[in-house]
Amino acid sequence: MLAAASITREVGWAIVIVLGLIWIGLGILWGRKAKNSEGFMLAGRNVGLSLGSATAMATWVTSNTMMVAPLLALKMGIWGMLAYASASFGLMLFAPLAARIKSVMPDGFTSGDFFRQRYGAAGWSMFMVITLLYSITWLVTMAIAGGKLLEELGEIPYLQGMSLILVVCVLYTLFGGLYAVIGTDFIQSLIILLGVVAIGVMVLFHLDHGATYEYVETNQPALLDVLMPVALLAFFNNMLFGFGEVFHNNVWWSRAFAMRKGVAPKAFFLSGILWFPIPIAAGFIALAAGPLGINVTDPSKVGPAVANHVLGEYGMGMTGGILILVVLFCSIASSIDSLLAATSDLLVKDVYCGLFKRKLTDDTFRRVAAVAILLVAGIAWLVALPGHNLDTVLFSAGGLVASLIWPIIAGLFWKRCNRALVLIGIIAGVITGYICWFAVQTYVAALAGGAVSMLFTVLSRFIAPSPFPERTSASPNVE
Amino acid sequence: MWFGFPSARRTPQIGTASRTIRLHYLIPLIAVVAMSMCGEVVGADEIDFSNREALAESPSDDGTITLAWDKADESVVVVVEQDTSSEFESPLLRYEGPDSATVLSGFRDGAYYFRIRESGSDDWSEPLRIRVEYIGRSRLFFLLATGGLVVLATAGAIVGGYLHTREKEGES
Repeated sequence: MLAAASITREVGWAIVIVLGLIWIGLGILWGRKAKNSEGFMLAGRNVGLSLGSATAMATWVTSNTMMVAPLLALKMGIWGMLAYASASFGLMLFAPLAARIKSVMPDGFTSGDFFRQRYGAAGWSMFMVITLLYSITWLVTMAIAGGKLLEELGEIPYLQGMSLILVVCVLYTLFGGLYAVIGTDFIQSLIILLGVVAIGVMVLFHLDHGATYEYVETNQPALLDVLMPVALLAFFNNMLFGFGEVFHNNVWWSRAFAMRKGVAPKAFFLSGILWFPIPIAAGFIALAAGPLGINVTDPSKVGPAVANHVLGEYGMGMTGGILILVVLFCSIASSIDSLLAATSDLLVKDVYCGLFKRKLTDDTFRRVAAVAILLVAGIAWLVALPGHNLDTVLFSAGGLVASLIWPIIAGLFWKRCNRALVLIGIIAGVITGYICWFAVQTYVAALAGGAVSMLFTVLSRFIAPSPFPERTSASPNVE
Repeated sequence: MWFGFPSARRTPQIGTASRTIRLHYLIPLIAVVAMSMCGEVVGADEIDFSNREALAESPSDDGTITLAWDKADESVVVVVEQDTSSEFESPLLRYEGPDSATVLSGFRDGAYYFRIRESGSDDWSEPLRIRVEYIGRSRLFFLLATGGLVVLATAGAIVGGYLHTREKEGES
């Protein structure tokens, strides 16, 4: 056990249910704005700068930010925090990509549309397998984090906590679509920012910095090494992981499509800047675990455990536990809902309409979207059952997402390339990523996968290139 | 010294090695669920590291070591010490309490010895030798150079592409 639970099981259940009811209520309220499929999927393509920045930031503040960033700090020290924070560059670099996306596909719906148009059926199939596999992986990490969080703070059994959080997020995503997701993201981002700052400041003032340095120097000397090998690898790996994730995933493309003209680049750049300090603040508290005498038995839980301990020292007891649970629940919910919505869009638009050639009216759209959301959540629930280590699960997907970085760049900015070579590069990148993750190091999959895919994509520009096909209608089967 | 050894392969984990966990994730979802149901072997009366074999065989490649032990009774308090020699001439107390595991991080390259006993007892377990072997220096620098190159090239391609296309769109 890391620390004594600061809230009772009943309080834990009550908080999640009350917050869930609030989100569901808001989902129903905002969901009324969705008059058609475009409203449900893309919030009427009318999202402004403040909502746009908030939703991008809140979505990127996942349970991984709050729980894996401290884990990396525990294992790698300051470099670990910076490694996680480097994922903000993915959001910042998506700003120019979003401008281009809006220009190339003003009527686009999903990132799958783009891949189908640029790389044909083979490229689209490959993309769908990769993005669905990754989206499920990401969803699984958040479900695991939710379960472990409730287990840590309220002694709610892992299975119950994980299921509860997933059910609540599914419900309000079902009701409101992207309107509900973006609206709740705005509120959740404010709670996350205020909560992280408050907890971070309390830990900062609670620590004896001299004693902390002495403890780390004696017990964790490698954390003070400027050239800690695994930390340096994690820095580049995590940055490329962030690039790959943001550049390809429909979570971000749907937001780009949903924002008003000219808003997306500013919103993504701003959200990257706002997001950068969050993993540093969240990670910093993990360094306090040893000096505060907290025994870490599960590194995934070190963040909430230290925060819980410090707030307890401040005499906040149950109030502190509630604060941590609310902040982390918001961070989990803000990402699970986005992923559910974006992944179901892909299943509906690209698989149901695209692959199976089924026509959807606005009346039937919601029913199919609901089935897709339930399907994705069900798969995630099944895979999350064992409760694996968060970083092991998360970084396994590094090669998958990093292999898509350069094909996306080429598709957006280049006029021609050898498309077969690009697709071979994606396969080679994925395989290399998995081999390196398994045989070399956990923190090299994205780096290796991205490098191999980049090499093939650059070569595709010079070896028998041909022009990309002309763009066609982005949403042929949604009326 | 943080360099000079061949690259390491995996990080020891509680009960199961990380390679096993990775394999779980590479095979179909059903297998993941099935594998998770495999239980750990419960230890005997004496307190010892339950993952001794895995830790002794597999060096840590990230400077993190997870020690786990089995206890007959949850209330039993254990003491874990660390040293750089098997003689434990200047031991460092790493854990004292009722938990069944501890995660220790921030180790540099080298060999470390651990032992465990029940609080109040004089019977220490056999020393457990664990190696920490970070990735080899040449491979590390190659990967870092590759990472730096990919990051710079990616940023350059995006910014360059954006400026170029914006110029073209402005002209048209």
